[in-house]
Amino acid sequence: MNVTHSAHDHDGTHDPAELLSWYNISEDDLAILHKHRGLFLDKIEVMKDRWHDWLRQLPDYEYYFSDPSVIEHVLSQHDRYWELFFTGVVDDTYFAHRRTVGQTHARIGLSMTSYHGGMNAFHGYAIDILKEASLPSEEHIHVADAFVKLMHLDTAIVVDTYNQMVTETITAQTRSLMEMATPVTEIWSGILLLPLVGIIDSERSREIMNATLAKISQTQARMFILDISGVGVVDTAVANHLIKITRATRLMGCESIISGVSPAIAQTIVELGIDVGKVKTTATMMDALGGAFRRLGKEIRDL
Amino acid sequence: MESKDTLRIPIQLSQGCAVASIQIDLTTGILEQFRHDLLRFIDEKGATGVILDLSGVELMDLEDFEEIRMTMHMARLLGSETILCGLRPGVVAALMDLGADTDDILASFNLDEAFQNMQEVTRTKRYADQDEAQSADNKEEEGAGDPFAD
Repeated sequence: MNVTHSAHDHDGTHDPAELLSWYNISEDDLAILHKHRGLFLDKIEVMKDRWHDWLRQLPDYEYYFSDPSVIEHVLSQHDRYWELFFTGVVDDTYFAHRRTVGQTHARIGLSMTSYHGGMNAFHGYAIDILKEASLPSEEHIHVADAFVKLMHLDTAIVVDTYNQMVTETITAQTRSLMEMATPVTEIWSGILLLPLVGIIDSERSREIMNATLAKISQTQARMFILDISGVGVVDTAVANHLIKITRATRLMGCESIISGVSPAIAQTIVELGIDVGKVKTTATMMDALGGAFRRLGKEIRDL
Repeated sequence: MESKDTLRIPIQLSQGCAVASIQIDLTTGILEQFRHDLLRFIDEKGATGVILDLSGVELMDLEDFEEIRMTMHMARLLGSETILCGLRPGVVAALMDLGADTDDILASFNLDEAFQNMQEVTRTKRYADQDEAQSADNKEEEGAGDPFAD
């Protein structure tokens, strides 16, 4: 079956030919940039100086570029950047370089606003150079047009890579958070405790259920205390997840108590008309623990 | 279609309870046969409760579960409460995902606890029956003065 080929690969990167056609960049465009490369590359030092001046007035300048070696490195990177820009060839090497630029920006956490500003500044310098060169008007327009299109393509790759890196970071953080967040503990023989903190969605609730059921099977616990005092929002969905967990534990012969129900949560539950069924609830974890001990025929008393 | 002599789930009497241990893959045929066998067993042996050991079941779909639940309801009509035991974590999680209605189900961790809980269930049931009988007696007494009574 011949499906329209997507420019997105599995890792979210693009195919050079495809992107060139998206940005309407022809061989002619690349060729004319290459033809006039001397105009720009000869004045690269001037452009870099002007750009450095521009950079200095950025609010984050002190934070990112206080070290002179850093700014030196950044400026030297521009040689490579603009050299590639005017080679007249946009291939995998070109793409790989632009992606590295995006990754670097993402890693140091430089905002995309600053990046766009920097590109915009360079665009201005290039136009100035072009004006001084006084080319025939048709050629002038062609070069300016090609310059803008290729610059936009560069920006697209960098932004794409930047986003991809940020998304990856968030995904990794979410995963590690999930793993940390379900410490089902046996606090007494036959009693499990799980203090819940944070947001409960369906994936998290499944995670909690699996961890709890595994622990019950392992410890043969008969009481399970689910403390929700750390749960920010309890709405219909969250309440249903919690009820589902208590139902599941009951099927394994383990009774659940939901503790830490605040007045606000109690109010929400009733106002939303949520049927909590047979689920036992208590305001404090102390009450829940007392109840669990009583249920197991134990009591705590002063010596 | 299952043949007449499908695999059967053995049922035995222990401490007055019908105890069945399911150690085979469930099919509708097996469960139908089991329902038939169980109800007859309760009727013939006068079992006071049913304990269903599901520790050997690795897979259960909603249909199997509903079949078991229906069997439990029928046993209740014959006066026997059912306690499930030994449900595996994976089976429970799957049932929850499928949205099974488990509110009226009694379950225990293993066979030992099921017997313990069964004692409690039958005891409270007996008290409830006595209370009911008593209140029925009271009604009769009250009924004596009721002009509308027969």
